[in-house]
Amino acid sequence: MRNNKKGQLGHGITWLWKFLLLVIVLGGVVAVVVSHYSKQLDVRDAEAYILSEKIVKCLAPNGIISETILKNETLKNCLPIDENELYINITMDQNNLEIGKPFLATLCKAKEQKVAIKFYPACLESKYHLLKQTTLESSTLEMLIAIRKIEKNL
Amino acid sequence: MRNNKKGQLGESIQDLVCAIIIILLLVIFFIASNTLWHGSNVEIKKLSTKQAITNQEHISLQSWLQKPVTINKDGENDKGDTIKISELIILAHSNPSYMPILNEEAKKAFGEDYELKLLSANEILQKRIMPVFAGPSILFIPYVKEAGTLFYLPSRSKEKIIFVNLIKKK
Repeated sequence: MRNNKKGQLGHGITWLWKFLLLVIVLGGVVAVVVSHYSKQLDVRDAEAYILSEKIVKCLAPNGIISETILKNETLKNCLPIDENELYINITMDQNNLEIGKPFLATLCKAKEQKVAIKFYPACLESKYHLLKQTTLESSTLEMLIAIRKIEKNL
Repeated sequence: MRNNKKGQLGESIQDLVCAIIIILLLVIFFIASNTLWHGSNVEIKKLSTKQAITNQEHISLQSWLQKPVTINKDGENDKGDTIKISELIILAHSNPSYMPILNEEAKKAFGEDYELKLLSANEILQKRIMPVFAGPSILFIPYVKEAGTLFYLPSRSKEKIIFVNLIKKK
């Protein structure tokens, strides 16, 4: 009878030990998977590309741009822009349009020159060949988009 | 009784060793996957850079095709004929003597880095199959042989369709 009781106790302790091991192994699997997949995704480059496309399609719907359209109001009407987190600079011929925080452009230059800064903005420089509406002459539209949004992406 | 205790102890040690091996394997897989796979951020950056370039080429080519150009100009007094680049392409496709004017216009618009090709439907529709790894499965996607940005000038018959291919020189 006594031996049987001891056996039962031993069996209970072994079961508890095995359960603990199972928890450790499952915990290990969960910890590895979570650490692997819960990394922040930096989608600012994709956002910059989408912004660039939307702005050009808004300013020059068929690849033809009106010379008088390059105004801050026009750009704000194209799409909602968070001026605290963005910097957009558009240059065509002598016209220049600037919106947002200019210090982001400086950070973009620093990024190009490989200056060691921990939190860079995402930068996209793009160039479009467009036609001017009245004369149908070729012109080049250059655009710089810099996105900060560090807290949401890094 | 003593043998039973020893057996239980041995079994527990065996379980512990197994658990340690499993955790070690997990750590090895974790390190290997981080080393071999550069992560989603790098993939997103690569893809968005590619998309941004394609977008620039596409909008620029669309705009350029509408540009007016003067041809058949004899002397300074002759005004010549003004046609769109897309019409010049149709001319150049049937009459190669217009090709230098077209190439010059392409060079003006896109610079030395780009090459312009005029292709027929048969040349462009050479399909190949490309395996693409999509999560746990593999997709076999057909794609055209030519890289770069493509536009086509429509025609009633398939043979007369002209594909304008703007491709970046390597």
